[in-house]
Amino acid sequence: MTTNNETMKCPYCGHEFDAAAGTAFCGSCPVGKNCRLVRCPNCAYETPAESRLISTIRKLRRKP
Amino acid sequence: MSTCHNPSSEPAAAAGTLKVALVGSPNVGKSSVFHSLTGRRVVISNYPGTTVDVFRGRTSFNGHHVEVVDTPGMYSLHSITEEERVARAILLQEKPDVVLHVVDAKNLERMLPITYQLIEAGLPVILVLNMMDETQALGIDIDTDLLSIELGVPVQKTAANLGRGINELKQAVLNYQPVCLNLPVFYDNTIEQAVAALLPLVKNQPAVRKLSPRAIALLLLRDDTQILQLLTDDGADIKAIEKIISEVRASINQTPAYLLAVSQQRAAQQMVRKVMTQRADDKPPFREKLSRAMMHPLSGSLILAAVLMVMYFFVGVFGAGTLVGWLEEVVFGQYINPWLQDVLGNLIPVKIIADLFIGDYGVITLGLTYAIGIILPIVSTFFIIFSIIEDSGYLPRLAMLVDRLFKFIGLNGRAVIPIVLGLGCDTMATIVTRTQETKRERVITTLLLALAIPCSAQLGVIFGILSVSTGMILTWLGVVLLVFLLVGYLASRLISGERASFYMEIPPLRLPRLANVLTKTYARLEWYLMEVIPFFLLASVVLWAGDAVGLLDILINALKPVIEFVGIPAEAAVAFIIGFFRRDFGAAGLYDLATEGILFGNGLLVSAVVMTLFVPCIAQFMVMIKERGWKTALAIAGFIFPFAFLVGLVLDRTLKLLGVNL
Ligand SMILES: [Zn+2]
Repeated sequence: MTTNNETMKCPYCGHEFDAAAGTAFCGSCPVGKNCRLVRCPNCAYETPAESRLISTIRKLRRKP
Repeated sequence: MSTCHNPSSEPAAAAGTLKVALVGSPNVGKSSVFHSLTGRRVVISNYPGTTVDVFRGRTSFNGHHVEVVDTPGMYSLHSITEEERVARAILLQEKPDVVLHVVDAKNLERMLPITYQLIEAGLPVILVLNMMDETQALGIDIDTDLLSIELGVPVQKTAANLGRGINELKQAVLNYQPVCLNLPVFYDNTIEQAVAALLPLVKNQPAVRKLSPRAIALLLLRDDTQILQLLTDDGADIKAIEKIISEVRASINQTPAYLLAVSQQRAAQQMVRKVMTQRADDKPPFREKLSRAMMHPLSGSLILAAVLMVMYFFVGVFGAGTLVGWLEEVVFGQYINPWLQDVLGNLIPVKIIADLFIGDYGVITLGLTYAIGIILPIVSTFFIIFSIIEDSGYLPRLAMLVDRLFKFIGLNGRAVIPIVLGLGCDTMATIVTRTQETKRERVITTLLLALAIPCSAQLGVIFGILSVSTGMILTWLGVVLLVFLLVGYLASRLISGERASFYMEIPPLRLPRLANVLTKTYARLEWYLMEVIPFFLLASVVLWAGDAVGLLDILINALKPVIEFVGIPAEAAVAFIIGFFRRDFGAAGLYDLATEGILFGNGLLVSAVVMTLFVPCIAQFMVMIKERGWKTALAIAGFIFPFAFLVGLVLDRTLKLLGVNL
């Protein structure tokens, strides 16, 4: 899923994209921008953003 | 023969700010190239009048100011999707000084047709062979010098994800010189004659200044309505143009678009034979064989069945049976709920207030028990399996397999993407129907999504409910599939016109990584619970209030006769009312009735089928209104609601007629 904090690889089409770009389809969705899912700009497949807990653990392990 | 565009011989870099546009089909590493060219100072904005995001970055190459624009992915210059229209608009309206056509070097043959189209259009193209690292790893060599001579445009090798070849690419951009371009493809005689006849008609039109007359003529032959519109606005002789096009069409069996595509593919094949060499060592690896088997109609269906079986045992039998049994019956049923009922019952003497927490529709007894006792274990097991499937790269192969089925029932291939996405979340899938070509196709796909495609959470719970017997789950699957095919078939009979072929990049299969699967499952669960728990709590408050004022009874009594007539026990009425809020919530209600022994056998199967088919969740319904308009949304809902019960009725009567008791 996540290669680093900024780029993600779509599990559906394999497209690599900036996590920041994953909101192209959100405009029409009633759940809006608060749903914490990241959408692939190529095919709109949704993946949950990495949880804060996990990314904190990851950072802690990287910088001992 | 060759054409000359842009007669100035100055290097492009001599001017002020250089504008560089990146084009290419999806999954060729275009964004890696973009980021390695621009660094991270990037502006994302909606392209005017569209929902498509465009990335722009300003940077400098050796002190020269450069603006880089990343266009949305496209499969052809002949635009179909909104993304493709935006990509083409950028090329035509922003007139980039250099166009970088980024391709996946290992799939050069499939990529070259767009290169040909860009060269034909007279655009200042540099061909960027990206993913050279993977290409070399596969033992493939490409003679770039020969390719450059044959195409008449510069060719650069990169591995952008590793940062290789980027400096050379920057230099190639700065050195770019407009040259006399070769005409890459000679078409069939009929086509070439038509192009020759069209050229004088389109030559001096303003639209042509942005695109070569030959490209305009070819796009006209492909029935490109946008180009025809541009020419109409320019006051071209449309009658004469249409006459030529219809003559071509009358003189050949296929559409001109088909002939063009075939010629381009043939040219690409010949080119690849010239410039590409493959180290001749091994036969296709196991991975490749497995990948093909997954997309083959027969073996692919068997593999899909096996995947569903695994899902059924893990989610239905283990998750919904073992785990839920323990959590709901023991943890909530024997400890938490009786204890809370005891404590709160004493603490809050007013029954109606106490009921808000611990009554039939109490926040704790209904909301939390359903969310944590039933939904949590089921969706956890489901998300684990789902993450494994996602991580392995099975989903795109499933899409290709499903595509064949779609063609069989006459549906458009492009509908595959939203339908497969719908298995994740129908709401977003409904928005994705935008990528379809016509309004009618969008309506049909929206209808099928709302009717017969359960979202991931609902699918998990359905697996859970029906885990009591394999026969039940197979019947459920069969009925839902049949409804999908039948409604799809009937609806698509209403469509006239060509059917688009579906094409999708297939990323490689890989072994799922445990850490990935677990973090993803966790993230998905966290998101799901955050969304679902407040909703369940709110819904139980609404139900409690409805119960207190007697509204719920009225609703239940109204629904009861319908439900009973269809063969579902009256007690399930509440679950169906809850199902209006969220499908998975309703399914959890059915689960609860099943464990209490109220719902079983045929009645359980029929309720699961009706629950799957009928009304989408509120979010999906709102998106339907927003995307399709309230008339269409209401019409779809108005069809689905009675139809779901009708299917339930037919199923119930058929089972009775056959004397089947599940
Ligand atoms: Zn994708």
